[in-house]
Amino acid sequence: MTSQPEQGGGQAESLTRLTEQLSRLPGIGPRSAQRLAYHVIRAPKEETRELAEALLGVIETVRFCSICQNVTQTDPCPRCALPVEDQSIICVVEEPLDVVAIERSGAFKGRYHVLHGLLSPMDGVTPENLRIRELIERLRDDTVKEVIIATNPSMEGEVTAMYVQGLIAPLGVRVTRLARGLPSGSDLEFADAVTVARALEGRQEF
Amino acid sequence: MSAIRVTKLSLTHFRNYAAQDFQPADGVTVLAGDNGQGKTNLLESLFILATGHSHRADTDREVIGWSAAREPIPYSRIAADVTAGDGRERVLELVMQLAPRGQAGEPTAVAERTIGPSGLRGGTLQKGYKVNGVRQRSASSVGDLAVVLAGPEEVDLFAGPPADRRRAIDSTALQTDAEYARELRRYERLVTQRNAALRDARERGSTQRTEDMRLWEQELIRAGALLLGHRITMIDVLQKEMLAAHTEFTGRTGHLALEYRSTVDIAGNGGASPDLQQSLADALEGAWGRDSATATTSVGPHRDDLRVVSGDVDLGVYGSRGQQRTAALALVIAQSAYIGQQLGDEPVILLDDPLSELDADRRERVLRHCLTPGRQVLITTADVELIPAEVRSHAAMYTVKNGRIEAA
Repeated sequence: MTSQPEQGGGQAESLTRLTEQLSRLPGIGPRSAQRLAYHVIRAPKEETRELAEALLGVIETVRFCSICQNVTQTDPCPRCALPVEDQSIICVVEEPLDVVAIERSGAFKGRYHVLHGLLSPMDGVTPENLRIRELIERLRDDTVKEVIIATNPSMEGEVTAMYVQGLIAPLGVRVTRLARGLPSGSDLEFADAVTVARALEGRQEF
Repeated sequence: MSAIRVTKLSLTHFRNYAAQDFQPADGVTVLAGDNGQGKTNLLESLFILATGHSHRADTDREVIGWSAAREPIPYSRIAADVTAGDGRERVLELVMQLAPRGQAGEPTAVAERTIGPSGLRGGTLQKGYKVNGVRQRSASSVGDLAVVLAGPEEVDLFAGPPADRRRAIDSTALQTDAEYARELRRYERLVTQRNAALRDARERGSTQRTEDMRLWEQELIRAGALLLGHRITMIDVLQKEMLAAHTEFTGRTGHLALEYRSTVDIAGNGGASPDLQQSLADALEGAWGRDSATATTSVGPHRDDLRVVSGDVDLGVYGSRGQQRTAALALVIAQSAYIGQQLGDEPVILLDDPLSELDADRRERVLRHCLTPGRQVLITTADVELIPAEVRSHAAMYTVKNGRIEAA
């Protein structure tokens, strides 16, 4: 086994600092961080400057949409600024990538609301850390008739869904939840027991 | 009764086994060898395959052996060909791997890993479970493979900490009921979430239940009541079977009671079957002041205990070592009977050198009980002489040495 990459020992301080910052990124260990740092040094200066500018550009221009809370460069975001087919329905998701996933389906014609996380005290996430208050604000006028809660079917997703549902119910807005069960195109024979049980629970009339 | 049998076991990078194929006999297999050669590891691998976790506490990631250090992603693989009582054959496979932190399934440079005193470090442990090559969502093979294990930790069960006893009965319940396995995982996570929510509330100086706290508790109560109900029914069966086995081992009828000591009022008022959800909710309510001050959950199935009582005497406290061990072995036999009743197939019995401290008479009685025809038994021993000659003549004899299994 080779030893751990040396930190600091004989290495330029600015390089150490870059390595440390890079290793804080998700999925990057100390060794990968060091590889990236050395790549940055060897790459043409112009390329690196572009990367740095792109990073700065992101934090300066990207913000949260004041309506749906999705990440955007303009406020309100393009989706909220344009008229949509169905104003009366909001789909609540955990994170921006979930909006992309639902958009890809082409099956949803309403608006979105991004919570930016799920309730999980063990990860330090309590209701105040989520964009729930902003969602309730959006339901004040009578435009919205239905809220679809599209959080993941994990334990935290379920509890978050129940929490949001509990706040919305008194407002007289219909609350629905995404169906759970067999993925289409799959084979019943090969589905695991939990999935089959869920699909049976969620069965529907023809 | 028909029995589950393992016809082939393959281990890769599992503890001190780099690569090993092994075919246990249909009946009795004796694995002899000095300590530290891998006898326990072999039995442990079957226990993990059946239950999804090790019988030793908190050692799941340690099973990835040193031989895995040079793999792009260090992993450990346990695979077994299993035949059920009705002749149905299945291939079960469990792969545990250390994925680099943050990103699942992406290889890291080998040099990024370090080896600590307890094995490979770094990365998160992932488990992938397959039946007949098809990926399953959870590592619990209800009905495919079932085992009971009696080893040094198990024979000290009643003298040891309550957590060991809970783990012992949980391992039996989750091998016979997929719902129990699922709810147990949820329940443990819910306790962690509630404790974190309590800690958060304490930091903010709040002593009132917030709406999100109420929701965590509501889920906790639902899952916890299910575990309680399951355990109570199971203990009833275990109690009867344990008494029968104990009588057989000691040669005299005695008074032996297995008691489930709950932190929740499970007796109910007036003898009617109590509403366990309500009981658990009441218990949480009663403990609220203490729980919110200490930011822990002090009541519920994760704090319950199992005691064995003879007459009025708690054997775990006042019994002799011999009495405790005989009782623990009787419980293992009872667990095996329970699994047999639930699945319709007897489990594989794993005896990890449990006989060395029993006298010759009890040793023979225990073995005779385990060695009913049709049942698969794997016995490890440091001293072959402890196994009666009559048993050895029917058994397949192997020697375990330094992570290799050879015919003796």
